[in-house]
Amino acid sequence: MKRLLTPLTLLLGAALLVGAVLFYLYAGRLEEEIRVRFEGKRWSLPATVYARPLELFVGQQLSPSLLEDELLLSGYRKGETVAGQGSFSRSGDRVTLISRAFHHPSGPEPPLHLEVRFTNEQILALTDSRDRSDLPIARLDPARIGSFHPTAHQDRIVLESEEVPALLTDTLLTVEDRHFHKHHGIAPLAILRALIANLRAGETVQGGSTITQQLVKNLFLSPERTLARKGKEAIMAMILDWHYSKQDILTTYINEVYLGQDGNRAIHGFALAGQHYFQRNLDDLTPAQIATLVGMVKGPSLYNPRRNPDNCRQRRQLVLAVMGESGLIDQATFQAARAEPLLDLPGRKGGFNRFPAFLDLVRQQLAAEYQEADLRSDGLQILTTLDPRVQFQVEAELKKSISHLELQGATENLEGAVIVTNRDNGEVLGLAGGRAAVENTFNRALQARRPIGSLVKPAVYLCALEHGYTLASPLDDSALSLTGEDGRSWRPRNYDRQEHGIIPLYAALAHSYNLATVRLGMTLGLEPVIATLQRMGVTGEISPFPSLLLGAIEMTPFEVAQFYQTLAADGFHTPLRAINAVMAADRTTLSRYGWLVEQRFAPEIIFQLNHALQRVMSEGTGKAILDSPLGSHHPAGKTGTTDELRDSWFAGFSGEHLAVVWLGRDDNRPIALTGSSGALVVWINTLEAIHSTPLALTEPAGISWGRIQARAHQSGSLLAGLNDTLLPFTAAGEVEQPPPSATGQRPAVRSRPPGSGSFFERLQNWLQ
Amino acid sequence: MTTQKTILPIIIIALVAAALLCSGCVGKVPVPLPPEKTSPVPPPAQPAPPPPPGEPAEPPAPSPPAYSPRTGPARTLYLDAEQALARGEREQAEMLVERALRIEPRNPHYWYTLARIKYAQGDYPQAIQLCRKSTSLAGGQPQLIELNSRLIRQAEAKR
Repeated sequence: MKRLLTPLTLLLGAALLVGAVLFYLYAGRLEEEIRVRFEGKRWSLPATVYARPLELFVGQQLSPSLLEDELLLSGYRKGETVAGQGSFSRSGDRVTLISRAFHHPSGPEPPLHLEVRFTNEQILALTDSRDRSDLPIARLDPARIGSFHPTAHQDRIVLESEEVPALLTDTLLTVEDRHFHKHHGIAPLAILRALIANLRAGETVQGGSTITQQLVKNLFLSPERTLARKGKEAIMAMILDWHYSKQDILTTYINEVYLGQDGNRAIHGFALAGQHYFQRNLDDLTPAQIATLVGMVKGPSLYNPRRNPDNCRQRRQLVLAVMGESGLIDQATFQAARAEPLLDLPGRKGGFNRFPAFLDLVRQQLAAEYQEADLRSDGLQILTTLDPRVQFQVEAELKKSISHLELQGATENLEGAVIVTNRDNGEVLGLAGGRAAVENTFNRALQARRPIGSLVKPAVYLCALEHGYTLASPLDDSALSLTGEDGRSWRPRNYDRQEHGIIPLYAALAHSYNLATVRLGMTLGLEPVIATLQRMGVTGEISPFPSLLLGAIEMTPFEVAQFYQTLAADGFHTPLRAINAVMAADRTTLSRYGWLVEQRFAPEIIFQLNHALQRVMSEGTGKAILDSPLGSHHPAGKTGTTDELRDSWFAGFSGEHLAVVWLGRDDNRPIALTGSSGALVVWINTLEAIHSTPLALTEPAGISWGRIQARAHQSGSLLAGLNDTLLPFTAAGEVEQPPPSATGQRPAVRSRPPGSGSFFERLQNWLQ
Repeated sequence: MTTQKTILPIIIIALVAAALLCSGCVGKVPVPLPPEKTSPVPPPAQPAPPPPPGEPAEPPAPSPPAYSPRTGPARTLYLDAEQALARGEREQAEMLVERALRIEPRNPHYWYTLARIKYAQGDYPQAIQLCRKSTSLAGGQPQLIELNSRLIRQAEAKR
């Protein structure tokens, strides 16, 4: 007995005790780490951004090929027959589809089994393909258009355990960890076997890791393979197994496992991998596809079906064999699965974040309420207003038109931006920030601040109409000279260098005459014009210089769209919105962005102005449209051109869309295009491509119509009938009501003394 | 309580681990823990719409007499919205009528329904604006214009 208590044994005992205490503390710390991770938020989930859901209804103008396009870009797969959620088939004028379940802010929408029949590019009937009942309207799940990734660029779709198909679980366990349900987190025998194999080979060749260990490795540990790390892994695996159910561990693994790369986006979890490689929910995967994914666990890059199809096929056949041997699939299924092609769909081009310019706007609008970190970690579901069909056309037409204009002799390195919104509710449907949509290094729609030229003129004329002018009021389009605050003189000129004498107000706007506009603006005063601009929705600082009247004010295309929206929406200021709602990862609604409208101008006034903007297109600077099919659509709009043809603008609206187009160069050099020869061309092509409807202005009650003699064709000639122009007037402001004289009161206007070249001289070309 | 529960497994783990691993590994000083990956930042607070002025919403706007709205392809959505409003499900009603308006953006009857929903939500300023929007699209429909005027007067009285 006494011998046992020698100093040596005491020392040993003490050392063992200290070791045990240290180990206890260490293990406690690991346990805490696991607990925090497992009971808190398990992953940083990227915010997912969705397009608007497509509504289908009887009578809708939509062709089967347009529907097909939309389905394809929403990630639906096309087949001979419809198989599972997110699939469709088409035969002639009939499209059959099964939509994917989706949780809208209004609640969950189950998958719809739909048959859509068309006639003459119109939906003839919508039928539930199961019970053959007629549906008046159907809302499909929205396309996933992008995400805001965590810094690690991981992406995943998280499933609950009951959402994982049994065949996937069984195959995974059979291949990776047969004794999962029996062991306690580690399998000592397997480790031993691996150890021996590794020693024999002189390097690490075998894992021997359980699913639990793999999960620990993925979640908590660095990728190095040292014995110490292996030890830590084993301890943590046992702690994990002790505290959590097998099912919980397995589901976490299925959501965590890394299964390849899409650009700089890491594909995590089987659900996202199923979408990425097969465009299918897990429920809809074939046994062969399950085998492919399970096979990839061993080496997501080595066994990638796209990059290493031969390796991948070999590995898949091996997994299928294991499935067959262990009775997971029967012989017939096995044979059929072996013969199945590896991938049945071409890879999706561009994959994710295909609309980076629009996503910029989404991020900008979210920034008001959400931290950037939340966008990258909380799994927010962001439902936007993007209409994929409009977006695609906006991108394509801008690119095509610019190339065409360059070939026709405009400058090189021409750039542009386009915004299309819903005319009435201000929803942004599509946005292009440059001709190369995918690169989007500089988003001109949101960032390029350029002088707006004659786009400012509707504000001057709107102000005039509010001050008692009518569309028929005579304006004086004759030369003038102004003295700026600095004492230098400014002598604006018309684009055609002509003076047009006394002309009716509407014609001055339609032809974008500079002299008449400046005289009118100076008579009204700059402050009322600035106030009008602000009521229309211009928020930035506006300097009260006379050159403002010809557009010496810088705005981004997006800001232009905001103030033209007020005209398009019949005088109602309507904030431009890219987001409809934001939901949390658990699908509770965090914010909904209701529609906001505010009447800023009387309907009768706006009606007259918009009528004049229609005349821009029928007889003024925008009449190039008459050569296109849109000529009969009576759109309203305004051209804008700046000094030395550096910027080409067009802003206008149809029956349902407002669109703003800007063309120019990043280095601000001249582009040899006017608003009419440049931006208007893009505008026409875009609105044609999105099948925009004709514009019919709603006439307010207080409007009466009257004829004026706008032109003086000889009374006997064939053109004499054109002398009469039918114009709208407010009941109060009857025809030919004398306006505050444009010639009588112009305090700041002098007769034209010869002047030297000045800063203002450069503005003289601003017309159209 | 958790600590008591954890003692046993820790001891078991310690023994098993000791048996499995060479003493050198176990004896090593614990490595610093990897940085915590889960963000402690709480989810964003619910950014509620601005609280409606005045007292909480009262019974929905009075139902108009003998009112027969003109409807188009979004008719079912509009009818669903009306029903939801009648049940007092204002958020649902709002989302339904918004869907209807995306399909028929210039139907003044739908805008009027949206105005009544805003009124029921207690958002009187927006109710007034939406009535004006409805009126601006109502063209030759004096009955609807009259209904809008009536609701505007009621909303103005509440402001």
